[in-house]
Amino acid sequence: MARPDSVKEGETLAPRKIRKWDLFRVFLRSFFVQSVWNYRSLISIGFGICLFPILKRLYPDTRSRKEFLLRHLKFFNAHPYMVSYALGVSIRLEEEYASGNLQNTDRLDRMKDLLISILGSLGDQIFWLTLRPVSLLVGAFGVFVASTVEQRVAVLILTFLLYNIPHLYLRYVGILEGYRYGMEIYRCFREGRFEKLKKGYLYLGVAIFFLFLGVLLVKFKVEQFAWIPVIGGAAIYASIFYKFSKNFYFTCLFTILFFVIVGFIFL
Amino acid sequence: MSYLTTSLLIGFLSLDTTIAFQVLLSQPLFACPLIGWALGNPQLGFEIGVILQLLWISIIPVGAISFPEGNIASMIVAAIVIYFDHLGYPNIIFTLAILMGILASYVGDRLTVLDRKFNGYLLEVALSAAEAANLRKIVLVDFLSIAFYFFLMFGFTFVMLNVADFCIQALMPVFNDMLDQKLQFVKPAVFGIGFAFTGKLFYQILVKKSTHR
Repeated sequence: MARPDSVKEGETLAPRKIRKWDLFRVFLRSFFVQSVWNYRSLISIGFGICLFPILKRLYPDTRSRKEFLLRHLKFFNAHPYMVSYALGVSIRLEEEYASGNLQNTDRLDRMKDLLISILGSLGDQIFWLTLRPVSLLVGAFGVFVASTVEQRVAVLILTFLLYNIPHLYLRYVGILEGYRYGMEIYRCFREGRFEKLKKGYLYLGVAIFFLFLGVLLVKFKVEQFAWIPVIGGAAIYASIFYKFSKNFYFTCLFTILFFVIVGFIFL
Repeated sequence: MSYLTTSLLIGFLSLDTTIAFQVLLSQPLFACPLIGWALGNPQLGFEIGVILQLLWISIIPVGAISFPEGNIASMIVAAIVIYFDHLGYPNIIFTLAILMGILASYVGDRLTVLDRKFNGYLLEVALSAAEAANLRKIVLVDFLSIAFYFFLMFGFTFVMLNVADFCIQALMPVFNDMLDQKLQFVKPAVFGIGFAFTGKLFYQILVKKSTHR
């Protein structure tokens, strides 16, 4: 998109600087980035709304605002936490454009397009496939082992922190780093930057998974011995059923049905 | 606590799934104890939360795919189990609740698709507001979308709780201790299914290194 008519070629506008408070307001809005998720533009509306504090800071006139909104309401998608990097980059490039240091917004559009797959893939790998299941598994194990309500509440608080400290950190730092690096955002995604975090959680998850199984065996051996073969049998039955059916609902229903029949036969 | 207020609580918590925050509050591990607290039985909420968390732990809300809405389903299951705990047939109630929960996870998924289609209409409104540089209208679109999802999940929960109430009242004459005894394998079976899915998820991440979608 070309620069507004009011800005002549080569002319530099009075710099309109983004404040840290603006970035923090964008961070707060980013919690709602997926609220208007739709099949045509995915998260674009939420993305655009996140940038409203920047819009108000940089563009006082209606025409520029209209162009800004149409720019950011175009198709865009990213992981809801890692989107912060795209927000930071957009803020930086919008600031440069508004100050006249960027001739047009084509680079911004291209950059956002590039970030879609990178941020989506990174976010899925780090959060959906590692941090979230591991944190929840740790929490489930903790609640299972704890005996009093107070202990269980403490476990939930720890689980909440285990997941949300990296979540909130990356959500906020992503905006700051995106804003700082702009077009050089690739420096934030250098090889292995998130590997330690991912691997640490993954090993924790695997350890807790086996610990959970061990504690389950010991606990039920004493309290409810009959549960052990049922849990093991259901796990095997469900695994095999899912392998062939690839259907979550049928796997659950038929496994439950199978053990209802087993109960009617043996009890 | 009435079905109405419980449904309001569940509707609010369900916003955390994809619409806002996404800080784990809608996950069964957190939501079920919260519902347990609201209904006066946190211990049962914790127990249901652990079992159902394992069941739905491997469901990944990636991009445009539709997925079983385990969070709303878990909350409905927890509410049903706690509401009817006083009947003294824990296995029968759990079996009915988990069956309704699986149905709820499917219907919840369809409702999410419906919500996303409705948001497609809202996109048109937002684009026309953008043409006029009307920021307030775009924010209004945002609130409308959140409110729509909230009422969708609230209404759905309210219907499910009333359906569960109707079914349990209708089936009460056939409830007895022997039937309850025969259904005692259902809870460990659900536990087992949860372990199967959890194990599969870690196996995929560690061995196959592929994205589970």
